[in-house]
Amino acid sequence: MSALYHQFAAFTISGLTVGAIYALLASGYTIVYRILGLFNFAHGGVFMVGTFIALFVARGMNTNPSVASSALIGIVAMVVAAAAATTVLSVGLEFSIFRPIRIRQGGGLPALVAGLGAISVLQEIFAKWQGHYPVRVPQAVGSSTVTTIFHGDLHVSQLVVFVGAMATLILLQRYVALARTGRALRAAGQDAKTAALMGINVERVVIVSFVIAGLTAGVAATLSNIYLGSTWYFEGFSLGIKGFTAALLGGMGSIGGAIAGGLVLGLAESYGAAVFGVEWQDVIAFAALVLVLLIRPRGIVGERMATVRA
Amino acid sequence: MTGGGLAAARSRWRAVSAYDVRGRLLALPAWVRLLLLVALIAFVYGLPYMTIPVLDTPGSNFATVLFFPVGMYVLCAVGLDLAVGRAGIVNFGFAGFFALGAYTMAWLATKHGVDFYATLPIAAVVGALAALILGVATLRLRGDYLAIVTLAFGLIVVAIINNTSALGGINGISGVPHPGPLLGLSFGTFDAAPYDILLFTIIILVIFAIMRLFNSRVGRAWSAIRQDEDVAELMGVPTFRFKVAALVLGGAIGGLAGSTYAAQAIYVSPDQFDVTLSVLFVSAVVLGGAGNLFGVIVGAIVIAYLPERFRGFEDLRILVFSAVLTLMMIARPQGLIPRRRHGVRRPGSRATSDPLPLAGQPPVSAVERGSAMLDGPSEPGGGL
Repeated sequence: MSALYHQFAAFTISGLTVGAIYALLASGYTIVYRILGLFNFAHGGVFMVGTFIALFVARGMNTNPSVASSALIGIVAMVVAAAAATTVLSVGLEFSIFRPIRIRQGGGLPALVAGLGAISVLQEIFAKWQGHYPVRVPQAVGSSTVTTIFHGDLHVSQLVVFVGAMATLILLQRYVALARTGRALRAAGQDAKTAALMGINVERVVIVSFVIAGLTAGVAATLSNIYLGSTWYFEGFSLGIKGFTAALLGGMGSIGGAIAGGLVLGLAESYGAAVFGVEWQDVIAFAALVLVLLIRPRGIVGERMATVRA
Repeated sequence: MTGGGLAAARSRWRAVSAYDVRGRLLALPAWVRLLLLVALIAFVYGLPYMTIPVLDTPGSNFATVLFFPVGMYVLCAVGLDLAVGRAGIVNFGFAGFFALGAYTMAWLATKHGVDFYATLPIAAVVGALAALILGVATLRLRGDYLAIVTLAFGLIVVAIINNTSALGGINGISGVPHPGPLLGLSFGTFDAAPYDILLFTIIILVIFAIMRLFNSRVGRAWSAIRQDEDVAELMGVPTFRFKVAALVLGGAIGGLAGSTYAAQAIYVSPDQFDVTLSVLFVSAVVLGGAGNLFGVIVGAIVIAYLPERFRGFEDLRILVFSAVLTLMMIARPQGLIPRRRHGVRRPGSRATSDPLPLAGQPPVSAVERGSAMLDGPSEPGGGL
């Protein structure tokens, strides 16, 4: 308990940083769920592939983390490469797995199991290729302290991750709220049939949702590499499940919910680890989910889905 | 329907399509069916003692494979299907029940010297209690949210065991004693065959009990809930209670399976019960065809047996297995052997040029979508 009391600011900062990564991952789950009502478990695998692409780029570029311009170029290159790969993969999975199951009217459960199969395939490929142990990622940004808030050090990496994730999420939220395609997205999420009758190409909207999921996974992959400093084949499952929990915590289907859920989950984990010890971190995360859902069954922000659901 | 009506039986046999295996079986005279059943059970009991070239598992002992994973997966999938296939609750935490059963056995037997046969019912009760707590706390949630909460349950169980030193923490508990001799079977360390016989007996008893249950008021209530929960509630079915009952019964079966597992494996540790196991159980149910007991058994056998059969490929087997599972889901989303009556969509009723499901349908009811939207009136005699 005293650890939490004495280093409250430090735990808050690290909780918010991890929470920002959770929020980015959550947005990927949430955007697909909004259109298809689908729990896309393969998304974690897509993210994991992104972390390795970012790792390869980081190795190849060999940037100097202590020079701001060099570090910035490195980050941009990692984001671009990782996001390109994850977007192609995300859309590829939609075409090869989820769309065929929809056409056969397979429903949600087979799609869910197929997604789990897909993440397992991706994991096995990378486990075989890159080994079964975490791989260290070259440092992308300096480890210096930007400022100290109430005795809590704010590191450059934390600032980069938090600002990067939040900027991406706010951009995404604005896009969904204001852009023409964003409007189509919302319409299709409310009622696919009616949206189609109103002239919206719903299949295209579905692809857009997978593109967005892929892009956010690419950004999340780069940021998680920067903050955690390592990745491995299981990264997609372990972080993916947290992103998923965050999406549920905030309320499936809304970007605001993903942000709220991610940050709350990150903070809960960080504070919980401070009080009970790191080994209880996962228990606390899931207990938080159960507690929140008991009080607010549709998450903190509430579900964004106009259709009345049983 | 005895042998006397052979001509009648023949005409009934002819009336059924050759593709309708179930229909053809039902058209057989009762004594033939009984004979087939006895033959099947005899074959199953004989399996641990036979070496069949095609079926045999290179690289691992066949009798051991029959116990775990094959037999265990069958028992767990049957228990899990009560929730998934009957009451429409996707449970991603079934390994939690399994773990609780195994640890009940390991803890009681090593720390308190309780006998195996006395622990079996206790383990079942522990599994049922865990399911009761999980159910009462979370069943008010909607299906898809519930799925993740159950996943969290499985993770929490493993994490708690991991952090409890009385249960051995990450080191687990070793030296779990074997069951005492029973009806001429003696349970040792090396020969898995007696355990197979024990497990098969448990499985057969469980299946028999469940089939009796399906034909009862409880079974009809589950069937009604699965088809349309709201309508069932309006018709006076206490849906919440029956859903909890499905979960609790599944939990008891999971506890039973876990305790039997611990007695054979001697050693239990938290990593034996991770999420992957729960996911594989759900995969078995969905692959076989949720809500169809026979399909679920076939699914469990496929999921458990294939990786063992292809041990020759060693590190590639999980990759191949996952790929096959994904492809199977694409090719046959309704499972290898779909649910009969309400689960099977008629070929002519496919909605054309509309690959999109109605957005907003949760996955659980999305599984039922075929039944809810496309099938006719509910099953006859469904009054409760």
